[in-house]
Amino acid sequence: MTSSSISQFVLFETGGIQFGLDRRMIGCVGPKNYALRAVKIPDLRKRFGLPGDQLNLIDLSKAPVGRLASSPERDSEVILLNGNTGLALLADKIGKTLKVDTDHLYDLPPAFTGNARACFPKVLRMAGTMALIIDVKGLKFIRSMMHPSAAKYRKRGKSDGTRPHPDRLRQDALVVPLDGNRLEVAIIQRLSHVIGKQVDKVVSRAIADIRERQNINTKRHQCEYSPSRIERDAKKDNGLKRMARG
Amino acid sequence: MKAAKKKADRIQSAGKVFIFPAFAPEHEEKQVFYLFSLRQVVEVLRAVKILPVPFSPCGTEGVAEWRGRVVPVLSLEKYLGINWSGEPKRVRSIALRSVGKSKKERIEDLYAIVNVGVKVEQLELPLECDAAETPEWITETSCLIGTYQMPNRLLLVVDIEKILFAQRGVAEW
Repeated sequence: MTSSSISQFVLFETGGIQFGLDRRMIGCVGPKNYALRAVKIPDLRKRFGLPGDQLNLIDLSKAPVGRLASSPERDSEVILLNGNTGLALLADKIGKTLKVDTDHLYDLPPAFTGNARACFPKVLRMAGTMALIIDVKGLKFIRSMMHPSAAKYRKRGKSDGTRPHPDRLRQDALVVPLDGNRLEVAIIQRLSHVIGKQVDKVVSRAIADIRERQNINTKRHQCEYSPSRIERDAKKDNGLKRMARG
Repeated sequence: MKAAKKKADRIQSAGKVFIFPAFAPEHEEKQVFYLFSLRQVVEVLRAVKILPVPFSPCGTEGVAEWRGRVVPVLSLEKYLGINWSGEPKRVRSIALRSVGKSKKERIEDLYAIVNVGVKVEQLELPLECDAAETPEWITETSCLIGTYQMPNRLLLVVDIEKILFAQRGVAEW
């Protein structure tokens, strides 16, 4: 008897086909035409393989299934994959995040072989929803679906060749629609990891960045984590450290 | 008593077959049908919602949900290499079953959904038919077990087991 485990999958649609991607594989999401930016924190930069790297942008709607449901110049979003994959996915619409246990994941039938099986080994079936679960390793081998203009994510402020001011290098994580709430995926996901590792300096800098951005005249939405909660956790960690030192 | 009745039913059902119109041109003024045994045809369905699968082999249209399973939706015409430009007026979906050996050498039941013409006929075995030459416009014969002709009908027997268990060399993306 196998025990089921719960995973979170983010659903997105492209070319009229519904896909699911493990939430842990998502670095961040942003509009295609927006210069994607990353928080200036060394650990995070390494984690995303940004900025200045050139990524391969995959458009699954162009995959050969006999139709192309959307126009090439559509208003899409880009899902940047985590780790050192060097890949990003084009999405027409990003849907909800589902908590799924393995009982709702079905193997792709044996009639599907080759690249189809490598890229989509599982099918999610839950509450009237069906989605193809993406295996990122399989996607790496799909060269023909690379978007003609690979996504480029650059630092700002380097054009004059002089050393840029740290403030000009500091960049914001993008606000993304996820679970119907606006979350700063880059900061929130990574901060929860960073807090766990008790890196006080990084947390303090992130808090300062968030506070500074709240004063900037851009669209923001409420985050799941509030600065006060982050501050409380940071203070708690500091207290524990002092106690440990004796 | 029950076991005997089951056995009798099984023998009787083994003597029946279904034929469904194929989406293919007429051959020598005979309409083309697919022939399946009673055991192979599990259910006749209403409209099925298909989820296309990118990079899928030629002949697989996608997957669909059926009785709590995820099953492939097949186009037998594409598997057989039939290029027919005609527009089917009405389409019926049927669920087919096949028993075979998986790659792990286990006996498994696999299912698939296939779109066929609406007109269904049930025939009793043995059929009064003769073996016939496969038409030239069927370009892929690896999935074809046999071709038979009756008055006004050309019957194609497709190797569903080979398709479902992916035992043939397929054109892949």
